[in-house]
Amino acid sequence: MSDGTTASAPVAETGAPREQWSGQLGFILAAIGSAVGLGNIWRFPGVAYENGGGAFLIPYLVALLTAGIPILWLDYAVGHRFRGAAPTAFRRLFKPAESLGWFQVAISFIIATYYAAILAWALAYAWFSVDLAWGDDPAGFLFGEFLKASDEVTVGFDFVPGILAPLVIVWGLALVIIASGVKRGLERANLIMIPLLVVMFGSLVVRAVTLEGAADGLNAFFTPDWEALTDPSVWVAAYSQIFFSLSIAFGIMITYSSYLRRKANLTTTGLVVGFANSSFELLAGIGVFATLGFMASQAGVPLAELGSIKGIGLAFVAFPQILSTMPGGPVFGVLFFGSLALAGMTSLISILQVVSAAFQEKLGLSVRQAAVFIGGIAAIISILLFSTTTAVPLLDTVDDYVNNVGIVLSAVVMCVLLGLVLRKLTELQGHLNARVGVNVGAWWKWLVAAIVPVVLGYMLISHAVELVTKGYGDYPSWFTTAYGWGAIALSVVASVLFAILPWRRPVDDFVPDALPELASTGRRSA
Amino acid sequence: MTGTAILFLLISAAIIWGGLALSIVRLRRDGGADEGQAPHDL
Repeated sequence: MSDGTTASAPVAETGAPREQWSGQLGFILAAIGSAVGLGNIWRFPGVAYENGGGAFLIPYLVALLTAGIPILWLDYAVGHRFRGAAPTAFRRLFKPAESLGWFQVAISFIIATYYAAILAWALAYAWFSVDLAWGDDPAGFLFGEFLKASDEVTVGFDFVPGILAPLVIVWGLALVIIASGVKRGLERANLIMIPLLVVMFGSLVVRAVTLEGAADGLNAFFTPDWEALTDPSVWVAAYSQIFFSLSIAFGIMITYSSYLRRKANLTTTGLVVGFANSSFELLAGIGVFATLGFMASQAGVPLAELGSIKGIGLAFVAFPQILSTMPGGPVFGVLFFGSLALAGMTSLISILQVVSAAFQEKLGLSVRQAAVFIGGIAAIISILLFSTTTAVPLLDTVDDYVNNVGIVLSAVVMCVLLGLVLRKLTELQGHLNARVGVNVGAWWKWLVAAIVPVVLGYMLISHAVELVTKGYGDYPSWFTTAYGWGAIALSVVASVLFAILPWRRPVDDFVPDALPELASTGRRSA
Repeated sequence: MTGTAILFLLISAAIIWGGLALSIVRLRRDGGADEGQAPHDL
């Protein structure tokens, strides 16, 4: 590839040089760390099982190749070409689009506040695993002794010291990492935590597949139900799983790719990150279902009759129940909850970086100032709202609305705006192809501008209609309106307000790299 | 495990873990950034 096809980059007159990853490995590990989170461990196995078992592999792979990796490449192209966190990058692309960037920042801010709380639970449970503190009633222990959950669905400020302590530890660690910057903080943390996560979770899977009944669990997980493929909801579940799992369309990958060197390989690294994320999900499926098979064999019931196979119920009720009955339960427990905490932490710091980087750029803050002020505000809100007796319904509600409405809306708007309104996909395709890596063809533009908006638009509308007509869960409508729709409304308002604020650093005197002449055809110059 | 489950375990592993392995091989072949060049400032 010719090096002479790119124009020299403008250098800002003020401010420190933009941070960067020390190399490709640092970026890839950080991007994998962001993608591999709690959902890989506690969501994918259950979703696959409920949607066709082994047959789910087909829609899952189709979704990965037609939506996951294409949007990942789109995020990379936007962040790398326009060199900034989401608001900066979108503004440089099209000034009014800065609001979309702030919407993604607001969504990240909200997610960080409750995601940290779940990490705190995982950290506490790693400690509880040592002596299997939940005894023979894990559900009672979780909601009674540990969370001290109120029966009332409201928001109160009755703090629970057992949650407060680990939550403060989680926030302390996360803010120290963010305050240490991209290379010394994010990169170093992921360099330690990702290999550790793989070793810990790998050990857990090896132990799990040797448990009595593991084969029954794996049978349930992998045996295909071909009829499921004719059910549209199975395909939606596959797109949904891929979409939520890859950390796409809410600013993370835009921010992370903005720290890559100018000639970085974007497309092949995207493939590595996408397949690494799915590889971990497959590993999690094997580990979780082998363990559930053991649980079913101990209880003498078919696996289908087990209660919780997803989410909080799986991690904090079913797994503790299993740990109490299995040989070496405390060690297995530390590995499981330690893995959850590690996977969660690498994702949490990526979410926080979206917020931190955006404010660094807009308000001219240093890395440490942004970590202390902006991260500190997130930490205080998180502690105030989610270390209380009323945390569970709030967390549950905000999580559903912010993910299924907020992030999906952000993705649809991004694809429609870039693909159909501004018609920027040819430029972004040219940017991807002006670097070494997999050559991106015109098919990518079709996927981003047509297939992804249709699939995600369907997901968005159907979920929103369900929320409006049926509400969410068993919660009262005033509660879901105030805190579910309220979170979305707050994000919209914040996106407008922050876009109006004046920039404290130059942002508009930016000229993106010139593209090779052949970029208009999507082909790389020789 | 049943033969069908083993088959699907192998197919899943071959496609997903194989896909990861191929991507890494491709990345090593392609190479990456020009290490000497700093990214431009904000």
